[in-house]
Amino acid sequence: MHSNKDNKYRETFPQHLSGKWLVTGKARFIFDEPKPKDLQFVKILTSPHAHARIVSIDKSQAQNIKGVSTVLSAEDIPGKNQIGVVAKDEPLLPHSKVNYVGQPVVIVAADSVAIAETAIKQIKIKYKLLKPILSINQALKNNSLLSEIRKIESGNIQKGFAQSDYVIEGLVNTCSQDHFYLETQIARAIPTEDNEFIIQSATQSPSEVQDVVARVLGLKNKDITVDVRRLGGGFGGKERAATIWACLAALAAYKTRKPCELRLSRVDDMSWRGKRHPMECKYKVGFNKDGKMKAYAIEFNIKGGAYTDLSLAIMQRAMVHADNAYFMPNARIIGRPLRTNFPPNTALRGFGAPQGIFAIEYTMERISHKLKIDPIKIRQANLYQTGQKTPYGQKIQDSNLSELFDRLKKNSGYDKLVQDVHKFNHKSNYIKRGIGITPVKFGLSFTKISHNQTSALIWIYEDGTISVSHGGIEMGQEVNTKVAQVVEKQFGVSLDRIRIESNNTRRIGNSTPTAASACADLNGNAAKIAADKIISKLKHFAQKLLYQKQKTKLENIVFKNNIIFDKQNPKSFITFTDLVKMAFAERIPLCAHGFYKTPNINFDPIKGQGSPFLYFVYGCALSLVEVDVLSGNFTIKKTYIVHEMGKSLNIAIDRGQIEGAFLQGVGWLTIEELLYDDKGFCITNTPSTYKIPTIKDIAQELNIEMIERDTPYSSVLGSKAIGEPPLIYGESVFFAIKNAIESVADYKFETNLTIPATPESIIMAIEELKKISD
Amino acid sequence: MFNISFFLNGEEVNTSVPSNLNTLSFIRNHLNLTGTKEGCSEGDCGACTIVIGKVRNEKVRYVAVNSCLIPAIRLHGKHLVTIEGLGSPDNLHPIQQALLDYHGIQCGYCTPGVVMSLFGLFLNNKRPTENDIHNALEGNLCRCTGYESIKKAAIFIANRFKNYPNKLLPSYFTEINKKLLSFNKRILWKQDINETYNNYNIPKSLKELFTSWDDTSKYESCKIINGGTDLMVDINIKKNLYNKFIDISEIEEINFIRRKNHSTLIGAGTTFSEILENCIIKLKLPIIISTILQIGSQQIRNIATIGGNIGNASPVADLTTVLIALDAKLILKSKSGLRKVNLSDFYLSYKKILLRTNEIIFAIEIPIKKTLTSFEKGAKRKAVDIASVNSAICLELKNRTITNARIALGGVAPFPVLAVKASSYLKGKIITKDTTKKVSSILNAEIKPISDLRGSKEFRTLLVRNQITRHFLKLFPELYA
Ligand SMILES: Cc1cc2nc3c(=O)[nH]c(=O)nc-3n(C[C@H](O)[C@H](O)[C@H](O)COP(=O)(O)OP(=O)(O)OC[C@H]3O[C@@H](n4cnc5c(N)ncnc54)[C@H](O)[C@@H]3O)c2cc1C
Ligand code: FES
Ligand code: FES
Repeated sequence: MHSNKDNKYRETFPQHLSGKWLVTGKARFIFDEPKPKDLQFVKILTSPHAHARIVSIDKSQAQNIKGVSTVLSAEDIPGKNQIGVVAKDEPLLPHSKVNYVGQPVVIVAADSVAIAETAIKQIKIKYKLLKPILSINQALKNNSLLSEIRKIESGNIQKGFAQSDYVIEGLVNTCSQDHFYLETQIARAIPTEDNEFIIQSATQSPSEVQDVVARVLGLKNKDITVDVRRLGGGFGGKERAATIWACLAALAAYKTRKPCELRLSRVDDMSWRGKRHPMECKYKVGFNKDGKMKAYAIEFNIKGGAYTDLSLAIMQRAMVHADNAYFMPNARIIGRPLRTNFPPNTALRGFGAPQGIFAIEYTMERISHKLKIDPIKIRQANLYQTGQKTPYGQKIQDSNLSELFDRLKKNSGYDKLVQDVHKFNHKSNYIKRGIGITPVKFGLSFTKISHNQTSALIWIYEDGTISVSHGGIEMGQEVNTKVAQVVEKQFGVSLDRIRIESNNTRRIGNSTPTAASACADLNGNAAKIAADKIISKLKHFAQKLLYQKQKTKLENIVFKNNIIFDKQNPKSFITFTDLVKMAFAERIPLCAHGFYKTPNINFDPIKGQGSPFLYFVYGCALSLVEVDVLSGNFTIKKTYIVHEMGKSLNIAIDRGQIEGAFLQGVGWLTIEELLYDDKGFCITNTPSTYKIPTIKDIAQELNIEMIERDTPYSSVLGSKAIGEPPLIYGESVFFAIKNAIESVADYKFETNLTIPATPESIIMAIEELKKISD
Repeated sequence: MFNISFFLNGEEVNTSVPSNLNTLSFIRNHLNLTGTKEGCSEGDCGACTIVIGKVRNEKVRYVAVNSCLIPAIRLHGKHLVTIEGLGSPDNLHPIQQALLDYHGIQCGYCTPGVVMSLFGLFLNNKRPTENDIHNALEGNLCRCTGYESIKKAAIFIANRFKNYPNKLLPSYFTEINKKLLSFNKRILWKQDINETYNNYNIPKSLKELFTSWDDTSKYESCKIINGGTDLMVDINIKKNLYNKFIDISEIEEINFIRRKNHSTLIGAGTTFSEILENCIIKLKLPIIISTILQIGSQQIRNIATIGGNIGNASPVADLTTVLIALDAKLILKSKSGLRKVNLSDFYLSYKKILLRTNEIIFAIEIPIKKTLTSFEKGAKRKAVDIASVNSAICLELKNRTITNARIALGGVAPFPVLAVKASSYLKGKIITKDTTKKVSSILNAEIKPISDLRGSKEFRTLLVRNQITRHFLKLFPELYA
């Protein structure tokens, strides 16, 4: 039975806007769109080599196969063969040189997938092999960089170290991760007339797709329309990495003048695409007896791929999160973006921040070990206080990290928990328990300042229903539900009157990527601005109408429950529908465009200084795990999360984001292992070899406390962003595993547990500890 | 092309399909129903989950399966339930309503598969526990939700409908069930004789099987397909094509479990799910139950067979390792009769088995003795993963003396092996902590694991040692107290 509580839950937190359609399989993803009769299927021949010169390409046999409509390579590109955005360094199809395994070289469009696949096999390419760069070390040796080094500095690092009681240094390598969205990359390009193309693309960046497709086809942006209804998950993997497939589909459509669809199989998707940036983190930390940091120097050697992609922005975000929740009086943060012969590594939920945060959390563990002080105390001792400045110079305005830690300790019964773990480990030989703690301070806004803008378009139709377009992409984070809630609230109408339209570059131009967790903030605000514009006109009109019955003040007019009334005299009212009808007759505008840009932010990436963030999201997590010393598997017994969220627009959505991000973070540092052969080919390119968490990997007990608070340092209607920050909580599981392993040698030694903490890495770490402690 | 007739949700469908088409493509491209999603084409993501009803022993049995792993031809005579057969946006099925209410949907791409898995669960289990829910959903990957909300929705349904499971059945179910029971007897396979490429044969009896084999022995790569959970992955992903299939999944004579003197016979065509439900196995061979629960996902267990696990000759086949330790014998059948071989002698080299042309594994004979048994599987992920190393041990004891021992290992050789030296060392020994250590070192000398993507040889060596410890720890906890 639905209890009252259930009903309340449902009413308070509106459901997924297209939930009814998704849950019945009626909602369409691009692959589900009806296929036109003449639809062509595009298949790609990609490079088998990480680095090679193209000697010759023979397409003749493939071209002659019945049902093949076109076979295309670099020379067939009508416009610029350039899809780079941040740096113009990436060809759509390489002319003379391939730079990673899986790089598209030739495409075929044919009447069926089978024909296209047959044709692909008939294409002969001769290569001359070149020496590839396949590791961070090789890249460093060859000085293979995507751009110059970037630095952030504060205080005086040398002095800081000199004044410290202790200095320790070391190196830790974070690992890569595949996005593993359930819907693989897909695009469909449809020629219309007059050199105009409609692109349906599973992209987080429709305007980028529009711009780059136009460039590649030698057309103008006005000639290209990109339309995106929804994605089957994105996680950053469709921010930049979707553009290339849309361009290839468009190229085929341009040549054949037929609709063309390009969809990657799971294996191709995982083999050919860039992933999360592995980072080699070289840290040096100076601290005092009480555990307080005096100086922190960190160098990130960032494993970018063959092309710049988003690597520089990701590096930037790693660098501005190198402090995480901790005050560092003296800091030096260096980022070195390396070019290698792998697919261009790209955005993945967290966008570098998880790596930057991991390094300092790892350092915290080391300090705790050195001083033999409880890791939670070390962390508490260093937490930011309001008024302090980050290494890049932004002032912390409203830190409540200390309170959040208090809640975490209380919720988890921390002291007893620690005692219990020690007692347990004392008695248990083959199962060991460990605790890990990770706070987060996540900066909100794109560090690329120009990305912090968007717009929304609202139409109220004559019948009182509302169409809303905005610049965000719905990919499961439920931005549409949230934007609809904002509009609902402003107009005081029920949700069922509102339709959130697909993202279409004709309605919303120049939109910025759906990324950086900022989508609901930006587009919610834009929609609110648009709604308020219409309302201000309607209010005057309503005042006139209500005035006929009695005196009404403008500020007393309320839009609520589909009616408009004077709050002093709620009995006389006009329905929203009637108001709209009359407004139309009176020629009052029922449409508005809202433009929003994030205020008060600035950042100089060269100097590494500024206040790039509108606000921070704060939280902390604690995990208790059990490691099976014999198998190397672990179980999350309990996780406690305390998350501060401003005034949540929809607690159910936000909770879902926390739960999903947490598990994705756990997967990243534990069971999700990417392996490559010595030629640079990804050999874990299927879900049978690359293991993301299943329902059996979730925490046995997940305790989330969501703290609402009123703070000016927030966004639309006082809410805060939610997409990425909770991924960081997953790191607590890694540290808990590390802690459990160290109990094997009575915490006397630190383990060199390699990342990700797979059973193999856990078993090897335990063996090593046993050896040194014997 | 093959003419097939089946029930799609509430309606009868008569159509024709090529033999090399899987059900997922058939549903999406031929039936034009796009609610069923494709996430991997290899049985690992669950986005393509459907429910299939099949007549067995005069009853319709429904199971959730991965449509990407089922040849479309097999739909003949079955009831196919897709997401379109449950609720509609205006009239949601209770499972769908619960997922919506509990916010178990984010991007929604995994959702239809989740709904079908849960539907499959509730059709077979009137009072599922949390554990049952985990088992039912372990084969459905969701990258968005972290599963918490999905689990809440499932628990809600389990509580809400525990006394009225029939309320979860769509209205057309009763009628289709009736039709299905008579339908199956009426229609025979119709094959287009013009079809030579990708020939596919589904004999209904052993007799038919051996006759059809006679006709077709000219085909080189004639392949037996049973559950297809190994073969279809081969076809979908590695694009290995076979010229001819003999599909033995409709032969009821190889689907049985029975006692015979001091052993149990399991027909090679018995699915893992069927074994799990069997009382004899539950009572006499619980080790098989606990092993099967660690194999694949619910969808896989619903179609994968014991014969396929052995016939696939994977070096880490989980059940095969256990069966070797249990000293199982294979009963092989061909036109000329039956023969019996030791399972431990069945493998010759990598993927080479003792099977002759036109012969099948007919049944597995497992001796029932008073033994102590244990199985360990070492894999990266706790559920739905292939082992790096697995091992099984089976001991016969008299007081504390071992009178007979068999240790079997997977993942350390080109096929699952009996560790002969370590096993014979144990014979006559008294169980002490020392014995177990000695066994480990003998094993260490006996095996030569290799490094691959499922683990380095060093890791595999350590895992073997650790698994041996775990076996003895489980069987003789007092030694380690
Ligand atoms: C997602 C997924 C997860 C999996 N997880 C596991 C796991 O955890 N552990 C594990 O051990 N396996 C696992 N498997 C492999 C597979 O499911 C099992 O090996 C299963 O038992 C195979 O049975 P089947 O009937 O589906 O085989 P099929 O695919 O039908 O056949 C497999 C092979 O055996 C031969 N064969 C089948 N039946 C006979 C017969 N009666 N006589 C002679 N030859 C025969 C076939 O010719 C073929 O070569 C997994 C597979 C998938 C897709
Ligand atoms: S598509 Fe992934 S299991 Fe079938
Ligand atoms: S909701 Fe997106 S994969 Fe499950």
